[in-house]
Amino acid sequence: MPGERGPRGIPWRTRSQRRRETEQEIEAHLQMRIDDLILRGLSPEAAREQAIARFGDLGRARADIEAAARQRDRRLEWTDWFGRLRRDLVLAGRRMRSHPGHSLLVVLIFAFGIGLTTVMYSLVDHVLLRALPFPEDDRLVALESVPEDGDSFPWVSMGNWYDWREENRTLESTGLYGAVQREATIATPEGAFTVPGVTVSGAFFATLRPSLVAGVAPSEAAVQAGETVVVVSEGFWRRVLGGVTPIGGALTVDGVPREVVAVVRSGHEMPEGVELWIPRPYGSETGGARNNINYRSVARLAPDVTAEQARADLATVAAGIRERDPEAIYSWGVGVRPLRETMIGDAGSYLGMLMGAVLLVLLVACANLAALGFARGRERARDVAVRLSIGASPGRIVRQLLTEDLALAGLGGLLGIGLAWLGSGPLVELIGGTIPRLRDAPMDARVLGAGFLASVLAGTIAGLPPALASARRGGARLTASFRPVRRGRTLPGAVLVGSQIAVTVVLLTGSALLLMSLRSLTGRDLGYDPTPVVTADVTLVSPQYRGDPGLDRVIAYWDRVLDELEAGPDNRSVGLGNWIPTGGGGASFIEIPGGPEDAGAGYRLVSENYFETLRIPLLGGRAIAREDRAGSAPVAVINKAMADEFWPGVDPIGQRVRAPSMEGYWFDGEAPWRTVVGVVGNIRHGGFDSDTRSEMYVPHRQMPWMARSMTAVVRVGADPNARMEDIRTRVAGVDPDLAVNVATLENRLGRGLRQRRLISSLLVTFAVSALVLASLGVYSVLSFAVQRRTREVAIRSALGASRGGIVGLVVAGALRVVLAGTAIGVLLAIAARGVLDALLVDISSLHPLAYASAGAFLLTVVLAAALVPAQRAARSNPVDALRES
Amino acid sequence: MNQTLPLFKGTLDLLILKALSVEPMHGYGLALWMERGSKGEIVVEDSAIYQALRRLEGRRLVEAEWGKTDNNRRARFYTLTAAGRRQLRDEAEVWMRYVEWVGRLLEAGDGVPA
Repeated sequence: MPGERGPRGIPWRTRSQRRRETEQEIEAHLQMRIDDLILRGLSPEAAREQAIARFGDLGRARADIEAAARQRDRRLEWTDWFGRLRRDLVLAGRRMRSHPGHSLLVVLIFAFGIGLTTVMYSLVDHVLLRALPFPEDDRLVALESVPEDGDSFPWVSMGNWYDWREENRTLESTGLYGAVQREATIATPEGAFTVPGVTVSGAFFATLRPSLVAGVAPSEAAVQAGETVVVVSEGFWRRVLGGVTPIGGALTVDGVPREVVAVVRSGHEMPEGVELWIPRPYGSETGGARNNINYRSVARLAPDVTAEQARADLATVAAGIRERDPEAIYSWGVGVRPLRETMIGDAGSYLGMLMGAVLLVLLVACANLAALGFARGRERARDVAVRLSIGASPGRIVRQLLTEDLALAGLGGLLGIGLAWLGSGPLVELIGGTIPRLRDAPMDARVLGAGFLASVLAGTIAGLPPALASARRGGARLTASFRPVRRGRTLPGAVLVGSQIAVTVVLLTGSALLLMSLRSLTGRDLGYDPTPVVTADVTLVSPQYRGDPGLDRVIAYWDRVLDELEAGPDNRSVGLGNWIPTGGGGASFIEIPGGPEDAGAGYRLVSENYFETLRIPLLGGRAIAREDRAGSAPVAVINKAMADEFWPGVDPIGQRVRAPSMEGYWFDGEAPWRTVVGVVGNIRHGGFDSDTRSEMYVPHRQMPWMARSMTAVVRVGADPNARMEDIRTRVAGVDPDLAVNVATLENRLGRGLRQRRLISSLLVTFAVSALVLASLGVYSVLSFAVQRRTREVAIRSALGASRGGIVGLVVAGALRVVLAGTAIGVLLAIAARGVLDALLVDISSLHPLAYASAGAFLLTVVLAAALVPAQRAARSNPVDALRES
Repeated sequence: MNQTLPLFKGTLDLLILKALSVEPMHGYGLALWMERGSKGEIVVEDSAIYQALRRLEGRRLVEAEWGKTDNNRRARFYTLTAAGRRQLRDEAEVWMRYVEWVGRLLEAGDGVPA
């Protein structure tokens, strides 16, 4: 009968079936009543009329009954589905209780894979996928300089920016800020300290519109009018101002009392990590400042303007600038890049790589569990066969087995998401400084959703293939009458183990490449000796050092610092530099008589003994001396790269050079010609991953204007960490109003490598996890194979096979799969090598050693895992084995 | 009383469960059972019975199957399930207590139930 199934059958009824059911039932009802009424003596017509009257309005009644029937069916379907799910879950729970060890292992593997995926996704989501916290962030762009070669870069000059702002027709507003974050000194009665700060133009806040906790952002007009104000971060506000100081309180920043006018909400800091925004008037200076690219620019596009339109508009402006000023070398267009993109930087590529790696680990985990599932499927084949024979449909079996896996995945997912939740805080803490936009622990509905999705996917991937196989094989088993499975039927297991191994090889190879690159990087010759050296940064912010009258005091201050430090115990050598290695650095346009135009070189101020302290070798001439002071002959020391670049084959000593963009301003536009008095070795100024470039060193006493912010470097005899406090005290003693930041040079170097180290260690962690899983996979599949071949092994050893022979036999069974997996893995790794290109320094992504070592390492570990069941087989007593079977 | 009694909400479901607890019936049988059992006092439109039956089917309190009547007519016969039997027991008890207390309250002369 259509629509009528057994009491627990699925009540699938189509609409027409429902209609027919109702129709037939009403008709039967009416007929029965008519029969009765006719028996009581009514005419057939009258009887029918009365029956219908008793039934109710036929059309409405029919509709009502059908509606009720529809609701009934919906409800039945749902409760049916739910009831079966509950029964499947009960079965799954029963099975988990009867195999607690196996279930725990599965849950833990799921938890591991899903937890890892969830936490990694939370990072990717937060850093790459979320919008910036600013309103209408899709209109925010960074404006960039474009030199003749056409590749834009993010630094801009005030002169160009001023013209862009005045002449554009596509920007709503634009702000300027210092390209270099600097340490701003805060003076308090308890002493001075520094916080990361940045100078900004008045329109910076109007452009960005960050959310404020309190106050009102300064206006362009107020800033241009010279109001001395400051905006602080919420973190600074709470930490330093106690979170209660009313807006309008005074704060002494770099020796200037400033009024606190606004507090920027946590997470809305831009540039990232800044705690203090110091507005200053910008824009009136043009001309000479046009090629001085010390700033960055942010802009808000006018509504409905695309970046492309803005680029075209600004290109016209840039062309106009070049026409007016042929010397404008960065005005071959204006780069317009989404702000979000510039903030993420290269994090996108390596976060994507790490996310990919994590998904591979999850894949290995799934393959692993699927392999376990196949083994388990064989184990419970009888159970399945019996259930099929008493009428369970294959679909029903698949559903039940899959429910079990999904339940385990669900438990694992809960555990994994829980771990991810607990772990994301510390993780963010650990890697916070190395990844942009990552300051708060991001755990929310989206991340939980991702974790849930990962659980369902993992459970399905791991559970469906073995469940399908079980249901299929279960049917075959009935006819095969419970005979053990034939040899050679290990295909799914082999594929799964092989794929785990292949993926593991990919991850191991990537790790090996990164580690080799890191090793080669840290093994690089820096050109100087960073240990044991202590550094002390000081910026002379107090009023007495300001202006021309303060210049003598600046020099006197540093002289006293040098004297104090030289007097310190165990201080072997002391020097000063304004940009010491690892601390960033300025560059200047340089002029050389008869030399090329547009030449440039790194520009550093240093004191006497600077080269000696850092052990930068003097290759010729002399070093900077204490006698090189204002009034004495202007001199410079250059590095070998500069000598080779500008005076190839000529002795540079005695040649002349000048640095107009750095020094011109202080000498009324006429930078002095400096005589090269010495040549020193090249150094990797930016750290291990930087290259050497042309650099010139100028005595700080001849450039006192730029010597207000310097770093003392002290080579000590022993552990630099132990000497830091004494050095800090000595420097602070010279002027207690100034903040002194002390570090070891080695630490500063390490900071530059933090991101690389972090990426490498994460990838290694993932690779090792995959390796553990793959080994486990080989172990369990082989254990099962050994179990199945107990008789065969027993007969062989009864016939005199040696233990070694049996071990060899078993391991050989795995070897083919392992080798094939490894080979495929190497091919995959070669195919995917491009992912790492951006992260590799000094070595090729095809370096054979990486592939060889990854393969060898994997083979060693996996074969060790294979030996365990092999030896168990060899040790077993053949008599017992034969008797049992 | 000329007028038939209006049916309180939920009462129809309870009466159907009661009728089916005696023997499986078709919808017309249920209508007759109610008319005759209440001596014509309780009368509902026949279509309401079918709506109620579908509701009860959805809650798995009754099950239906096509069969033949004594007069050899095809009809859908409804049977009480185990869940239906439990439901009848519980609801009948509640109903009886309800009726008893409503009755006592209404009959109390001075407003205080005896």
